[in-house]
Amino acid sequence: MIKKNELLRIENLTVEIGEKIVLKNISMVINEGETHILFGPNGSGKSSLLYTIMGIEGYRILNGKIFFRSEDITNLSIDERARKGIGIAYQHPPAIKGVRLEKLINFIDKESKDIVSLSKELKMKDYLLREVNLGFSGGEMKRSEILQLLSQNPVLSLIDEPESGVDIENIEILGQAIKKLLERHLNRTRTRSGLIITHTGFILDYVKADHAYILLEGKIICEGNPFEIFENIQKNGFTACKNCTK
Amino acid sequence: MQKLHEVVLNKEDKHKLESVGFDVEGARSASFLMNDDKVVLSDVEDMEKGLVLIPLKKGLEKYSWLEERLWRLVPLDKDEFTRRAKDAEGYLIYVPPGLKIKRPLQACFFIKSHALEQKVHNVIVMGKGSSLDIINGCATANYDTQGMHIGITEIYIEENAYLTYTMIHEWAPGVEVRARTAVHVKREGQFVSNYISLQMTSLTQSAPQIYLEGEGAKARLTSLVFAPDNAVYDLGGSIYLKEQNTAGEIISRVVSNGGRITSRGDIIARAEGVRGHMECNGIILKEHGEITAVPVLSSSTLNADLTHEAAVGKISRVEVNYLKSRGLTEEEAVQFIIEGFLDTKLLKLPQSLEENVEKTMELLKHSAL
Repeated sequence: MIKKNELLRIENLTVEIGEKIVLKNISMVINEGETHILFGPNGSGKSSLLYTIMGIEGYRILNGKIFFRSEDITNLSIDERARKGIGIAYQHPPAIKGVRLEKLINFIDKESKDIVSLSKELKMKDYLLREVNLGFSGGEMKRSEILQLLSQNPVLSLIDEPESGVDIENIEILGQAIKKLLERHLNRTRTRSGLIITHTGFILDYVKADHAYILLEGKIICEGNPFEIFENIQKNGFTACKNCTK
Repeated sequence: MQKLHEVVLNKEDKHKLESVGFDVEGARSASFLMNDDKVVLSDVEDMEKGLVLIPLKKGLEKYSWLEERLWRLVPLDKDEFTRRAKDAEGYLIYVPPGLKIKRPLQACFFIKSHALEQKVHNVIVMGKGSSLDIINGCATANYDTQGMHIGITEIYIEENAYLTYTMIHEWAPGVEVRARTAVHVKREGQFVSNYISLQMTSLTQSAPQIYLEGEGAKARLTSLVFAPDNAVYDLGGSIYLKEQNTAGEIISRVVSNGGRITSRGDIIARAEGVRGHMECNGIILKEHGEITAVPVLSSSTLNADLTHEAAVGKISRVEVNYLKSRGLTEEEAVQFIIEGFLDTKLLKLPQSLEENVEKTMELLKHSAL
């Protein structure tokens, strides 16, 4: 049975890149308005999961299905998924030479949002005329990614390590922007959802996430309350989680 | 000879001229228009005192020094095309020493008649310390026109003079183009060439020869080219670094959407302390398209700094996927990337032409992609 407020459902997903299986039998449900967190060491399959949900080429689904708003999207193209309301902030986005950030943002914004004030909030106003991600520092790249997501305003935001390579000042800016993106200031009326990869857990200071998973070697080995799980990781590391019960 | 405001153009022709950067409203220092083999406009604004723009044949009658500059940089017997252009009409542009012209000079070579062989011979003389920005447009009137354009251009840049030469081509599927250009630059003089062509052509061949003959002279050639199905481009350029501290740069960005592009470049160092840099980047979008990059660096001195980078390949899937994940379709993503790849910011445009060329480029890209 599919519940009414269910947004994303992943069923028994197994994925390979090339010859290597990167995700094994993953299942999860994200309801409308919820934000979930993905923890796990490098190479555990966290980014692969986000890319597979987004539909990026090269991530071959061997088994399982992905449903978005009750619709099977397993075989849809990236842009079809994007237009249905899935968005992604990459950890290492490519530079698009010759394309100004402003042009891209104006193109992806379908609701005529106030791009200038959005970019001011993210301290990106001076970057609007720069080429997308070209020569951006770590923090600038993350701010650019979140600015693009805010312009796109997806129902489900997939956010890959928003804190990596970012200094403290930028962490605050990004934290506030992600909070806004996921409508965490709203309560019952919240419609935006998120799936966020974090190493440092910083995002929990801004987004009181609803649920968390630990991924290890392509499998979900543990899930539950994000704050409890994060505390446990800090104390005992990821490997200790192997022994914890789901 | 008519003034700019007296030239009557039908709507279609006007649109065509504008698409190669010709400003019919006239925010220009001077304007020149050649329809087929006839000069119909050669007009210098009243306020631009000293600037000379006249049909070449009139120039020969008026200036005795012109005769010896004709066929001096491009030899008359270079090949069959130069020989065919023996008595061609064209323009003489002369900027007297010290005169700096702020507004651009515009010229347009327009083929209107079917299967016409348009032969053009242009001479530009930049006096010591002078400066000028030229925008040259070449176009055919109707899209299905056959024809041929032979263009001889001889450019003399005296000491400390500065010339930017921006060329926009918009030919038709059956038009063959043979350009023969040579430039002579003296001490501390500078020559900047910008070339844009995004349309069909049965063959466009162009390889300006730049001779940096005085200490500290500089040249930069940039091309942005898009070759649709069946278009053939053979483009190049040679910069001879003949005196100390001369510097040359050849930059090209080419896209094949089924067409064939050969992108050549030669930088030849023959003096101490010279610098040369070449960049050729190509993207192949479709099967049967072909891009050949032929960069040549040659040095016969101990102290020359010549560098080169080239990359020819398919469009980056990572970039396409990135844009698609923002909701752009495959076609929109490719268009974004190609438009960015052929960014006019790569050109070294004078400020007075930036907006105009950018707008022109938007229109051209829109119809080409």
